[in-house]
Formats: sequence, C-alpha cells, structure tokens
Amino acid sequence: MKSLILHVWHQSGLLLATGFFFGLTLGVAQVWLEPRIQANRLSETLDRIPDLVPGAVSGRASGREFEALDAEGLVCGTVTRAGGGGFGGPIELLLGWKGQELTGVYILAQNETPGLGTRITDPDWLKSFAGCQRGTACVLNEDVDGWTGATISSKAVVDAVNTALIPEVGHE
Amino acid sequence: MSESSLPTPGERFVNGVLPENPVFRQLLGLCPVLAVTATLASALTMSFAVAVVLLGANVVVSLIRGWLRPHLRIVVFTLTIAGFVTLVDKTMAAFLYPMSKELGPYLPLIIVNCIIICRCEVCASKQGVGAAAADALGQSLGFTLALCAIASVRELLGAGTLLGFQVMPAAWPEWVVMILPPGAFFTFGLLMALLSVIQLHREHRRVV
Amino acid sequence: MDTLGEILMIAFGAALIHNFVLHYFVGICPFIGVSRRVDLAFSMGCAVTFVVCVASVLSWTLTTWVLQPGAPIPSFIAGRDTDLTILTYLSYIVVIAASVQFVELYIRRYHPPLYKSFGVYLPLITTNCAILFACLEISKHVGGTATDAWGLHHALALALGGGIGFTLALVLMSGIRQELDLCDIPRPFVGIPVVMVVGGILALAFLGFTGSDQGLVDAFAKGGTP
Repeated sequence: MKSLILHVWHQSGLLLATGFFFGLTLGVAQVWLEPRIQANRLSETLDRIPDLVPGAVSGRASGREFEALDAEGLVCGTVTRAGGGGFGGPIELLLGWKGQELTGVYILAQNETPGLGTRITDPDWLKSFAGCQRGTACVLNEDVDGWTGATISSKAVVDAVNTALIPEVGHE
Repeated sequence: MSESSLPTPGERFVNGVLPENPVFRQLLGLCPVLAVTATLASALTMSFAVAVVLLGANVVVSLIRGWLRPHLRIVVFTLTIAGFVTLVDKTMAAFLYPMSKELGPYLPLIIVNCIIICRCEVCASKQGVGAAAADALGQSLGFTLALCAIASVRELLGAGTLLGFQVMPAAWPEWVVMILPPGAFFTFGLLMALLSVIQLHREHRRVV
Repeated sequence: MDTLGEILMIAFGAALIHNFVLHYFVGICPFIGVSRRVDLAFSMGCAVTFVVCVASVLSWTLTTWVLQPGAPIPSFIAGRDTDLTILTYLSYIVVIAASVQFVELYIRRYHPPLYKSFGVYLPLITTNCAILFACLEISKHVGGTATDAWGLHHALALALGGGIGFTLALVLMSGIRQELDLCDIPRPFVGIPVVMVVGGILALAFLGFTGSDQGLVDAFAKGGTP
C-alpha cells in the first residue's frame, strides 16, 4: 500500500504540484484582474453614450438596457443593443433613444468586407438614421441611402434598426 | 545526451533568429502567422504575447526538468503553457481591451501553438535556465521578425498604411484581397519563395 | 427561424463560408503535412471531425454546467454564484487531450494499418488548433454575456460542419498536390511556397461563399410562410 502511494507520487507529483501552482496563480489573477475586465467590457458601451444621445454626458447599466445621464445626473434617454446578420457575419449595434425617437446608431462589432461592407461604420451615414420614430419602419434608399457595393451590409443595418423600431415584427 | 554536446545559450539565441527561424525554417505555429497579420499592430501584439508565454514556459520547464517523467512530460508542458496563456489573456483583456478583442480566439490558440511545445521538448527539458531563456528570446525574436515581415507587406498593400499611419500616396488603390484570408496565403508563399531564391542564388555562387 | 434552420445555417457557415482552414487558418499544420495523398487526407479529416465532435460535446457540457458564471454544479457546491471562466482554457485542453487519446486507442485497436499510416500526426491532433478553436467558438455562445444561447445541438452542428469543412479543404488540397507532383514548378516555389499559393487560390474561391447564408435565410423564410 505504501509503495503504491509512493509510486503514484513519484509519477504524478510534479503534475499535481504544477497544477496547484497554476491554480494559485490564476486565482490571484482572477481576483486582481476580473473587475478591470468587467469595467472594460461595460465602458465599451458607456463611452459611446454621449455620441448616441444628445445632451448626455455619461451613462449607467440598467438591466439589459443602458440609461443616458445628462450633466445634472438625470436620465435623458436610453441606449439598447440590437443585432442582425450581415454579409460576413453578425453585426452588433448600439441604438440611442430619446423617448420614442431614435437619436443615434453605432456599430459595435461587424465582420464585413474591408473597404466595401465596412462603409456601414461611416459616422455620417449612421447619422441619417437619427429621427426615426418607434413604430414606423425605416426604408432603405428613402429614409437612408444604401452604399454602392455594400447593398447587403446596408440592408442588414436597416433590418436590425427596424427590428428595434417595430418590436412586434422582430419577435414574430 | 550530455549537456555539453548541446548548443550554448548564445548559440541558442542566434539559431532562433534566422538559421532555425520558427516560421520560415521550421514551419511551426502557422495559425497566428496567417491569421493576425492583417495589420502590423496586431502582429506585434501577438508576437509579444507569444514571447511572454514562450519565455515563461521555457523557464518553468527548465526549472522542473529534473522531475519530469517521460510519459507525463507533454501533459506538464501543456499545463504550464495553458496557465501562462490564461494569465497573458486576462492581463491583455484588462489593460489592452481593444487589442484583445481584435486578436479574439487567436490569443488562447497560443496554447496549441507548436513552437512553444517544440521548444520545451527540444531545449528547455534538456538544458538549464540560461540556455532555455536565451532560446525563448531567440525564437520569439525570429517569430516576431517573420510576423512583422508578412504583416507589413499585407498592411502596406492592403490598406496603404503601416501601424495605422498613411504611408502609400492617397491615390493608392487598396488591394483589399491582401487583408482578406487569401492575401495571407499569397504573402507567406511568395515570401518563402523569395527566401529560397536568395538561398539558391547563394548556393549557386558557392558552387561556382 | 426554426431550430432545424438554425442548425443548418451554423453547419453550412462553419463548413463553407467560414471554413476552418481557409478562413480562420486553424489546422494549417495538417493542411500542409498530411495533404500529399487524397486517401490519407480523407482519413485525417474524418479523425479530426470525430475528435472535434467529441470535444465540442464535452466542452459544451463542461461550460454549461461548470465553467460559465453562475453555473449549476459549482454554485450548488459553494452555495452561491461562482465564476470559473478563468479555468476555461485549462479544462478545454484537458478535454481535447482526453478525446484524442480515446480516438487513438480506438484506431489502434480496430484499424492498425490506418494507425501506422497516420504516424506522428495522430497524437498531434491534440495540438491541432481546429479543435480548441471549435471549443472556443462554442464557449462564446454559452457564457453569461452571450446574446444567443446555444444548445447542445448548435454546438454539435458547428463541430460537424467545421469538421466537414476541414476534411473538404484537406481533400481538395491533396488532390491538387497530387497533380502538382507531375508539374514543372519553378525551383524557388517547390515545396511549401506553391502549397501556400494554391491555398490562397482555394481561399479566394471559398470567399465566394460569403453572404450566401443571407440568401439561404431569406429562402428559408419564404419557404416557412405559406
């Protein structure tokens, strides 16, 4: 029995010791770094709020949505996430709202063709979405111009925005 | 093999850079070579991450080489590498968030990068800490050189920029294909062909 | 979209649009090393597909039950919500190594000739990026931050599609390489460079699949409504 324990220790002691060492190191890293990583993940959205909602200077998370706060710390709008399928993969959007009015759109993540589909990240183009009202669909080439060479990407953004504008259609 | 017959730390370092370049000579760890070389900045970050992991793994393996059991050594190597990669990944997510998002899955994929496990096996499990560290530095320098060579060609032709600065004239028609996946294959293949042209030329001269 | 449609889209996307080798560059080592003969490439592809499926199912289960923030098992043991995501990479690599060991034992026991012809490349599947990559892709859709929660069937669809795509790329490449052996290639290109250039042309061809998933989604939507 004693020789068996010795044999197991002889063979796997190093493995156990390394495992223990890295377990400890990773635990320390987790405690030290995780709050920072969470803050990074959150500020990725929060930093965008002043551009998305006019008058807002900061924001805070509230459930799945984000609230935009003005200089006095009052809630002046909301920011929601939206998503859709683009030409090269999923597209993630941030939408700024003031009451029922869409005030801004920002592309958080996209995987479109560089130089063609990536034109959808153009800030001036995204500004043309502002003013859409909840309940009324936004029409491509009427309310918003489509990009030449990026028809599918433009349509994907418009579709994603419409899903948020008309929630009933999106949940169908 | 006795330790005296193995290369010295200095030789290890020099060998890693060009004679045994991990990418062009040994064809190891090609995933990141092709995947993260669309821009020079991501290539540099990737090389730095690989260098840190390689140095850490090599030093640790070299320190514990006396207790390694032959059939369990690969497991110990992998455990060590995975530990270091997790540390680097978390540190990067905490301090370089946009870059860690850009590198995405390729950062954790360093775990299965053959370069590191190969260096642990070939060098660190046989030689002392000095040689192992020199080997890690040399190999990562070679890796960085290779990545930067490919990335600068791709970024220059594909976007007309280097590290985000406009280098080519504004009228440069951006070769988008160079940034897309095929560009990685083409650039790597053509650079390798260029290297073998140089080598053939040298051999030819030596014969004459 | 219904579940079947989702599964088909994931598998189709992983096999053709975002091919593991030609779009994500994972599994380049066997793409170069084992693509000399078609039959060998095909068996290698099958072995990788099998390992990917086993590893994905295991890693999905592990992520859902143990690793994701607030996962049931450790939360039950600790009595409060836990977050073990930091152990993700370590546990995945263990799962993959175990799956490869399992496949190796199976092939050695029942297909000895195949075992011999694989040689060193079989244990090397452990360090095949494609498998860890598939596990990581799945974990992205399981963790607490995911907007679309994936079930086991989604994970399996990605693994199967990815494996088939990997096999396809390997077989295509080996077919071309068998023909290349008969060609007069410029000397500097002999060996790896020409493989890379051909790989680039293949990747260019696969780029043509981009966007075709949206067309399929639309077709599904039209077929779904009477």
